Amino acid sequence: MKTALLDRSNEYLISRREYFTLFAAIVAAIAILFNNDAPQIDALRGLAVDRLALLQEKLSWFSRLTQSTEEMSALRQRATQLMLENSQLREAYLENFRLRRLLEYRERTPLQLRSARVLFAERSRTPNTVVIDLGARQGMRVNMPVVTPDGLAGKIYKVNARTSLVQLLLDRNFSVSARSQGGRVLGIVSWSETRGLEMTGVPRNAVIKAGDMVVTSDYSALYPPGLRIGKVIAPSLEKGEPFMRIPLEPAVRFDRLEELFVITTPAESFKVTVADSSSGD
Amino acid sequence: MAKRIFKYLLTFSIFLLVQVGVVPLLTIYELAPDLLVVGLVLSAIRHGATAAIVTGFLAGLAQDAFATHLYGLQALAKAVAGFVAAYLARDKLKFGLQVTLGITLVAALVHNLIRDGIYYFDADFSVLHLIVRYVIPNSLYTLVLAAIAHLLFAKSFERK
Repeated sequence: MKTALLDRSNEYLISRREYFTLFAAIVAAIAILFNNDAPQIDALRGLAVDRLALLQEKLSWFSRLTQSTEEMSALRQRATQLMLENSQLREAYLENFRLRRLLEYRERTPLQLRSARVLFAERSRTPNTVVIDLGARQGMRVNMPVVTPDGLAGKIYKVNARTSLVQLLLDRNFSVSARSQGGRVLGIVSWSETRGLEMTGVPRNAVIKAGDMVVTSDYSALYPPGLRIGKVIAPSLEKGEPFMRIPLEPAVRFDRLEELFVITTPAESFKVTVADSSSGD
Repeated sequence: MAKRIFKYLLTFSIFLLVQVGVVPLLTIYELAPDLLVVGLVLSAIRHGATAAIVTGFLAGLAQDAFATHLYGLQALAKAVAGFVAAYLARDKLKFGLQVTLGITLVAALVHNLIRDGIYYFDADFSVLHLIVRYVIPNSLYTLVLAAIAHLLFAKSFERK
């Protein structure tokens, strides 16, 4: 019985060998082809991602029939806006102490947000990205900051017609100018496979302790100041090193990214110049 | 067996060298015939689908190394063209000029549609323009080459 089944399956494989060969050749050729870094392949990839996103959107429509998606999205957007306002208020409160003697200071522009749904993640690749359902047609542009209610998640890395790739904070090529929320200690936050998320370039004598929140600095060209990045775990001093390495616990839960918000306010609007912020000190 | 494989490889190496060395000299208004497609039709007629697909894939990879900056493009187009040629030739016993040219034309059309479709994917012209300007003329040019090959080596276009 077993032998007969084996014989029959062997027969089937042999009789259809040209189809299997063709399939293998096509898969191999496409795999090789998609490793090229040519504009045609980029365009093809963009189209494929767009179509996949469209398909996924159509499929997910059935599963989300029972949910009031718009309401949920609006509430999440509101929550994120409140979080940002709250973060800015806390910033303003701390600023009041430092800038008491200032005659005037510029009020920061309220941030405009656009909610986006995470379609799928490409975590195994470099860059570490997720694909969102907003693209060039919705006004997305490269380098727009991407946040969640918890803080900074990344930035837009590539824009297709209907979708965009978001480069996450947990990518080795991602770095952001940062400072501690209380102590105003400046540094650069980046991520590596071996060390995880950490703040570097902090002088040895800087006052920073475990539990301090690290936020985006006023000097970033891309991100609004005061966005939460992570919490200090334990600053470490290495012998002979002029700078401290400060490991951080990310503020955003990257394993649970479902809904993101793109800050569509132009970077120039929230950029506080050095002259403005230091004129009264 | 080894002698046959050696002869087969040698034939395709010569085809490849002629394709990358001589055929570019025959280019007219960016149109060039593809000798390897003629070779694939020959392989499909004589040895069947599996041989044609594998040969198309490997010859395409070799051609990619010489010809384009899109590595894998010719391999994809030629593997599919090899299958198409073998599929069309599978029930035929005699391969006269008309049958051979018919098979070559369809295989060349499929080959050029895949190759030029991907190569000009981000170009600013329509699919119709692509077909009229590149796919059909390139295929007809290849057809001329196939006709000459058939007239010169009619005996080679027979099933083994």
